[in-house]
Amino acid sequence: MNHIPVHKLSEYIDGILDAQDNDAITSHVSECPECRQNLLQLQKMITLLSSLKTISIPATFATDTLARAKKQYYHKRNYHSLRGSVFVAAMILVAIITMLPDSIKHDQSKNYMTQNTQNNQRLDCIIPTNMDLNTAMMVIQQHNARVLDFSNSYVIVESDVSSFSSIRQIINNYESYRPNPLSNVGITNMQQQEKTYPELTHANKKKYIFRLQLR
Amino acid sequence: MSEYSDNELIDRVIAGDTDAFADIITRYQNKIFRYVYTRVYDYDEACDMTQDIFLITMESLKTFRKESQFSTWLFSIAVNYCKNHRRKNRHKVYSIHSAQDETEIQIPDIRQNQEELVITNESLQIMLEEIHKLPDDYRDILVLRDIEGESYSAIAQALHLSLANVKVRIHRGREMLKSRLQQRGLL
Repeated sequence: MNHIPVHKLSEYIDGILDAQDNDAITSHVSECPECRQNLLQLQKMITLLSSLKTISIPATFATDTLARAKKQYYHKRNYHSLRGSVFVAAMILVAIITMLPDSIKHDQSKNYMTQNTQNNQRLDCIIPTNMDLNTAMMVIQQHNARVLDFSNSYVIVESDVSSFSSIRQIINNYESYRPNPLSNVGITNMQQQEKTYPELTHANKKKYIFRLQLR
Repeated sequence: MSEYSDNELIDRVIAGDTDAFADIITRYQNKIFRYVYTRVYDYDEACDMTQDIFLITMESLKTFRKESQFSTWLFSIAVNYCKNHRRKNRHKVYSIHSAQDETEIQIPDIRQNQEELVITNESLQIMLEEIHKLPDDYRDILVLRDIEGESYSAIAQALHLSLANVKVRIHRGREMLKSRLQQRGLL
């Protein structure tokens, strides 16, 4: 007599077999002690498993969870409304700044730049030059560099690598000219040692901030 | 327990009556908890995880399309949450013995007269340990089928499996658990 495979016994317990298979197994287990034993063990195990249904969560769980859910909900709602208020305030601020007279805006901008460059001490190097302010500004402008701050004695410049090299090259060439009274440039040659520039600290930087020290 | 159907409660929550969610929690809390608990085998952690699952469910209620039973949908959320939790805590090793020492699970002493079967707290503790140690694929399916009494088709929907696959896993899971319980002298 062939024994009943365990998966058939499992399906028999779950009542998902057709009537014919079901009857065949009922009749077989009544005669076969081994299959009957298998069936009883499976039934016992399933009874044990179903008794785990008595495990439960603490009685206050639903109340606690709902309280937490509400807290999260209101927190989120407050966050969204706060975010909305901040956005509106920012828009008003932008509108006010836009409407300010140009002179005030420029002053603020210059102050910010000065603070930024002085406080952070981000200068990569100082390049002494005999150029005057106008000439220096023109050179900087030609090389698409950005003026961060300036006075009659210096210009602080931000530039990319190639602009930095070009500006340095221009200054080198400029310093090597002899004074020409007809050119109206008014160059005074600097001492040789003053033309040796400090080495850059970060050779692989993409941006340089340097100071042109004017005459 | 509320007399409202799941879908009626969901509609109320979506309409702003957050208190209606308490009925949903009460209805399914133990089912979800038992599923999580058999996975992590740490009572406190299972409570926290169950709470997270209900919070996620509440936030996602608007996305429930009512094409399936709510319980099936909720269970899918629990399954995904537990999988993600496992992934995040892969390094963490759950100690069966420390979990036992720390928390005394209140299991009523059930005595049944079925072929002289006596179910004691000790035998339930062994059951818990052994079902916790089963591979995920078998544990999930046995919890749903033999603890929660879900139908084959509901299990297939919740776990995104074919009916044939559910049958095979139930059978294999039972065989594996049976052999382990025999080794522990419980069968």
